[in-house]
Amino acid sequence: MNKNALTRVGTLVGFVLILLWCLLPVAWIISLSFKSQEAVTNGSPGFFPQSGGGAGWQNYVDVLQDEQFRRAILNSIGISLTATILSVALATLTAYAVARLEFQGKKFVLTTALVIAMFPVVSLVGPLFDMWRTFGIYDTWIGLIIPYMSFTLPLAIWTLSAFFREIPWEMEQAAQVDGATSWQAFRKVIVPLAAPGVFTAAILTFFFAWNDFVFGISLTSTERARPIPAALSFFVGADPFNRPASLLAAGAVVATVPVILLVLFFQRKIVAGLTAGAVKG
Amino acid sequence: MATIEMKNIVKKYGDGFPAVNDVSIDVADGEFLILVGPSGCGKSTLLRMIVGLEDITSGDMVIDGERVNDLAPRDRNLAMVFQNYALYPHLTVYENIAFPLRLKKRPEKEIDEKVRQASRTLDLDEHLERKPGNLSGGQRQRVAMGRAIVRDAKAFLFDEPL
Repeated sequence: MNKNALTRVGTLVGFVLILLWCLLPVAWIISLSFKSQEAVTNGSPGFFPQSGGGAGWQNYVDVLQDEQFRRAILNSIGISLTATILSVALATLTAYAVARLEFQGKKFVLTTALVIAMFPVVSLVGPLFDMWRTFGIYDTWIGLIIPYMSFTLPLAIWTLSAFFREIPWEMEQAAQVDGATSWQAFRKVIVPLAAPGVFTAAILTFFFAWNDFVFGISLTSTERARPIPAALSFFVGADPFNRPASLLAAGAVVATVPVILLVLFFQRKIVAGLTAGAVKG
Repeated sequence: MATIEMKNIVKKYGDGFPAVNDVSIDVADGEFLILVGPSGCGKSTLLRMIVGLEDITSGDMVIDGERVNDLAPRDRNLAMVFQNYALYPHLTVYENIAFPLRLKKRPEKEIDEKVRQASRTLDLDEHLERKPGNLSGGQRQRVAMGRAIVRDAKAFLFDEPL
């Protein structure tokens, strides 16, 4: 066997190992979600649902019929989408200023943003809990949207300003000579060209908001605003000593689906080389 | 068309280096002026001051008898072809050429007429629906010119677009 073939085999083995490592838990939870509760509690049920008594779609039916769970899905979608839209809109404007303008304290703004993004989430939960109750936004959508935004804005600003810097400045100047106001140049030329960056920022923001557990569990107390990750942990079923593992698994799968759909949708928008042909050479 | 008068134009950058030092030129209506000089002598800077993309440190820029030092580029009604073309890569050739007219909110019929006329002059008819990324260098250059000539601009500035 020559060296070239050896490298290829090595790559393949590594590839398979990584795939297994990443997908096994997912496969396991999907398999679990199709098992009956008895099969799960009766010792070792084996990997495939049929081996210990399958439940068909029953777990999914039960989960989706649960009023609290349905409400949690609604909360999660509403909160995550609002946080994403607001965060990306604000970050686009900020990043544009950061990339294009020279102003005092620019470095300070960027560094502060980075520091905020690196703040440990847990350290803020206590103070926020207290403040939110004083302000009366404890256990509300807005009470979660605000912390999600403050944690995702820095990331979005840094990502987007990198994208804006890639766009030749002449684009904008050409638009201005063509008769555009600064705002028109921004909206008709710069934003379309920065679209991949906008969608990247949107995905990152949505992920953070959707996956968050710490804020979700500590800043809510009822189903009024409780998001899915927190709601899943409240899923105890009829018998608190016997956690309904298969129901939880079904819930987890349902919670994953919107994220996968969103990524597949946005991924097509993230294409490289949008600025190809703009300038000579 | 219009007259352009430059009176003692000076451009100094932040470090005090005079990129353009005391230039006075009168360009008559319909006149054709070519600036030639070594690289870095201020040709582009002068053009950019005429069109309004660069602040003028001192001196007067007068177009058609009106001092335009403080006017934004969009209010000077000049057309310019950039050194590197600066086409809009997300728009088709047609939309690139139509861009200045759309900003002026001209009626659709007039836009179409003017774009087609420009594309005929520049031999771009068969490329109207393509994007700049797929064009050759020479074709891009003609698109950049098309975008300049569709307008009723007071003057046309070309920053070595060859």
